Amino acid sequence: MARVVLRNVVKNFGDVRIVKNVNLEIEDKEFLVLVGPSGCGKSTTLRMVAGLEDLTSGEIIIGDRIVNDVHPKDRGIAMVFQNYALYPHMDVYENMAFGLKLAKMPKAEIDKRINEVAETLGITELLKRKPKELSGGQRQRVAVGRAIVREPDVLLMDEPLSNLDAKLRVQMRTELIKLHNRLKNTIIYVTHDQTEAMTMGTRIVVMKDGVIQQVAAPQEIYDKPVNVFVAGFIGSPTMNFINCRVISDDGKITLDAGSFRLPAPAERFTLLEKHINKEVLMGIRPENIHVGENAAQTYGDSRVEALVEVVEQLGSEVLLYLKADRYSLTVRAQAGTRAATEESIPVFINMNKIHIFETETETALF
Amino acid sequence: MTRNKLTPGVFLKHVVLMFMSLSALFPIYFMVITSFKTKEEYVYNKFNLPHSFSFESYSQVFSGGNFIKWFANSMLLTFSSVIVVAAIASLAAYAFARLRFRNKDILLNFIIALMVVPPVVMVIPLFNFLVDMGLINTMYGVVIIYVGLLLPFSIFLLTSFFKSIPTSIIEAAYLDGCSTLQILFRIIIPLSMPAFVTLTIVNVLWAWNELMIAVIFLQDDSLKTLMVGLTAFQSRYNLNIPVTMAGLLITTMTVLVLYIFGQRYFIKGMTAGSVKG
Repeated sequence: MARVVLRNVVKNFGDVRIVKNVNLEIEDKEFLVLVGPSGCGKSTTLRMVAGLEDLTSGEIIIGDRIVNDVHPKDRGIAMVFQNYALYPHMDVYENMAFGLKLAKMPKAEIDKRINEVAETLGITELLKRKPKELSGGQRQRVAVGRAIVREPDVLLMDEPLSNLDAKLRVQMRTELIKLHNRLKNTIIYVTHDQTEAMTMGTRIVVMKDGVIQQVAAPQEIYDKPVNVFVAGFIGSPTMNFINCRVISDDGKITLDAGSFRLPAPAERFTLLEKHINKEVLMGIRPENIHVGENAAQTYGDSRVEALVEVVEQLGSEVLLYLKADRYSLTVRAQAGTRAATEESIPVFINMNKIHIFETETETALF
Repeated sequence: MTRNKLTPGVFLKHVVLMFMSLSALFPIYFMVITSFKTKEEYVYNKFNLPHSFSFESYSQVFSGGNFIKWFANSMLLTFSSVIVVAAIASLAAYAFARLRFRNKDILLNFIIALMVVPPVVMVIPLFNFLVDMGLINTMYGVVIIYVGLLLPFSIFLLTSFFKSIPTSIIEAAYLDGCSTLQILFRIIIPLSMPAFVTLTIVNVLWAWNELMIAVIFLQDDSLKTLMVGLTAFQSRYNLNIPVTMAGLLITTMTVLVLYIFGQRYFIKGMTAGSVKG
């Protein structure tokens, strides 16, 4: 097992800088998820750790070695590819044995390892099948098996679940978490799916345009996003954003959104005072906007009139898509909440849960 | 299943196709039936089936041993050229398809452009070259020419096929510890069998049927190929058509068998299932 350190890692493709000065420390046995939109440099970063891409500058350290010039096979890594990348002309056993045979491992040891891993992943009965005879989920297991049979210090996964259907993806997600709990290797996992990132990672790295935006535990990223991008990227449905002006009003601070005003929480006054008469961006998660009688009693002073545009009944909850002035708001309401489209309803914002971002820098004040 | 209605257009199409098929098959029919006729029967029965099947023409073809010698020469020349071509082309195609180097596209386009140069324009320079090298009238010399002529198409075909193999499979092999050559021999070539079979058949057909270079560069009687021999054969047995047809049939059957055997490998199902697609 090993920790992985990326120090000032830069990657250019031609004149384009894809990864910009990435610094990252991944602890031993950690399940680290790199998440971000397409083209943010997360896969390139992973491929540099794997040794599939050279670094333009910087260092990658695995264990206690700088591995910039070390062949991938000697880095103690294994990788699971997005499209599985199984060898089509070999059966499952041969696929798993290929790397071990190249490493000149004795046949008995290869047999033992493959049988153990096949048992763990429930693919023993598939060992003699060719990849084309397997379903998507089975191929995915084999791809994982081929990687872990090498007992790598670091397991790299490049969007391994993105080709599976929704139900299988959820199932495999749980299985990968269980596998990590059992094997305890360091895992670096790349995904563009924030749900995968939130559910699987012990820590999440959010990337955008080749730059790390935030590194933190899932709950911390969700609760304390450092900027507008992270706030909007993590969480589903996404955070609601409202442009406001900070106004000092009779010893209190109010957020003026044009057609409605919202009272800022008292404990945030100190932070907001520096921004009096300035524009800020207020963010509020869908579950922190409430509807109904109870909400009126609790959050009555932060009432906003909104027009219902779409109602999504999800069974366990209801999603309301609303329009308040020029802002689109998404509200996660309790199951059974009644609302009709084109109806005007009052919604109440839990102001203790708001996030405020500077308009110019898009960084979070709180 | 739906069946096309027999409209006049469809009918006309079928008539044209049948006519074309028959005109393509007729020479083979003629070759087969004539080879089993005696010289005498051929005089009065040219296009009908033979009254009694005679193997006299075949025994005449093989008498004297020349035919077998030519056959062996053709085999040697064809298969050595095809094997050398496959070896060089697979290495070159791997480089073009998978490696990064300067002016790769320019070089590949230049090689592909060589496909359009007709061999006849190269005869005189090649003749001088082989004379200078002391390779005139040798099998080596002709193998070199054949290899040179077959390489552009072979490199083009294999490069296209190698490019179609998903990069992630090659990367997986690299991470598994394969060297560049191991990737070629253990991953790319096994996955490219349909391309290699196609290439082998196309190249064998060309080399087997090649006449011009064999006539010019192999003037020694003992080095004659089947095609060159058959040309002489035809003039010698000018009046004995059944013997000529027997010789032609044996020549044709050799490559026909190869084609029929290889045809089932033409299917490109090898990469199915390896990656999500």
